[in-house]
Amino acid sequence: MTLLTIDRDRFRTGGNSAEFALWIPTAYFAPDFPARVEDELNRLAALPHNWDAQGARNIDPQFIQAARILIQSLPANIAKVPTVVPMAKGNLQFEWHDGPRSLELEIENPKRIHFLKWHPEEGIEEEGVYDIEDIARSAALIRWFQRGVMNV
Amino acid sequence: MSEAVAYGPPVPAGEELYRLITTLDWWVADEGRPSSAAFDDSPFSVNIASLTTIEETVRQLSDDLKRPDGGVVAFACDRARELGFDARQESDSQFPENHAHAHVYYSGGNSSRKKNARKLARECRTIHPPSF
Repeated sequence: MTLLTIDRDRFRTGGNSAEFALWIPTAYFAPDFPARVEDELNRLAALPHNWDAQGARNIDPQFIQAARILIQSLPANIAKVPTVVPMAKGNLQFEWHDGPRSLELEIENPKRIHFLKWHPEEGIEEEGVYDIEDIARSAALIRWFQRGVMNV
Repeated sequence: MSEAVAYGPPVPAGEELYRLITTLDWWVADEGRPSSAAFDDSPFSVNIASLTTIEETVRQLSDDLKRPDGGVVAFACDRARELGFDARQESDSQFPENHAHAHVYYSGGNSSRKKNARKLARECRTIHPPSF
C-alpha cells in the first residue's frame, strides 16, 4: 500500500467524500512547522514593553527558549502550525482552534506547561499542568486536537 | 509582614464591561472572537459601560492607545464574577482622566484559570470588530 500525504493548507478534500473514505490520514504534512513557529517566537522576543498599549511586559527570553526546545522536540508532521500568542504577564502560549475544538499549551514557567483541552460539545473541558520535558504528554494533546480536526 | 492591598469598590453586578482588544494576537479571526489570552492577566483593564460610550471607547483605542485597528468586546460583570473575575472601579495610571476605568482581578484558583478565561472569551459580545 502506498502512503499518501495531504497538505490541507493547500488542498482541502471533503472529509465526507467517497474518495476520502479510502484514505487513512496518518499525519498532518507541515514541514515548515518548526520554521514558522520559530519566526513567531522571534517576533514575540522582539516585542517592546507595553506591546498591547495596556502595560504588557516583554516576553521573557527564558519562556522563548523553553518554547523553542519544546517545538524542536515534537515529532515531525504532528499538526497544523499553531498560533503563537504572547501573554500580558510576559509568557506565551500555543493555540490550535477548529470550531468548538481547541487546545492551548501555555508555557506557564520555563519548566511547566498549563494546558486547556476544550470541546464543550463533546463534554471536554480539561485543564492541568505538567512538566515541559514531558514531550509525550504534549504530543498526545496535540494529536488529540489534530485527530479531531481530521475526523479520525 | 505582608501589606494589605486596597482594592477599589466592586463594580455593580448589573454593569456591562468593555474590554479593548489592542493586538491581533488576542483575536481569533476565523471565529470572530477574542482569544482567552485577552483575559488571562490579573488585573486587566476594562471600561464600565454605563460610565462611557462605545464611541468614547473607540476613540480611546485610536487616540490614546494608538490602536485604531483594535476592537471592543463586552461582557457582563456578574457573569465574570461567577467565573472568578472581580471588577473593581480603579483609575488607570496611564489615563487618569478615564473615569469609566476598572481593573478585573482573577480570584479563582490556578487549576481553573484557563477554563474560566476561555468561558469569558466565549461569552463576549463584539461591539466594535477589530480590523487588523
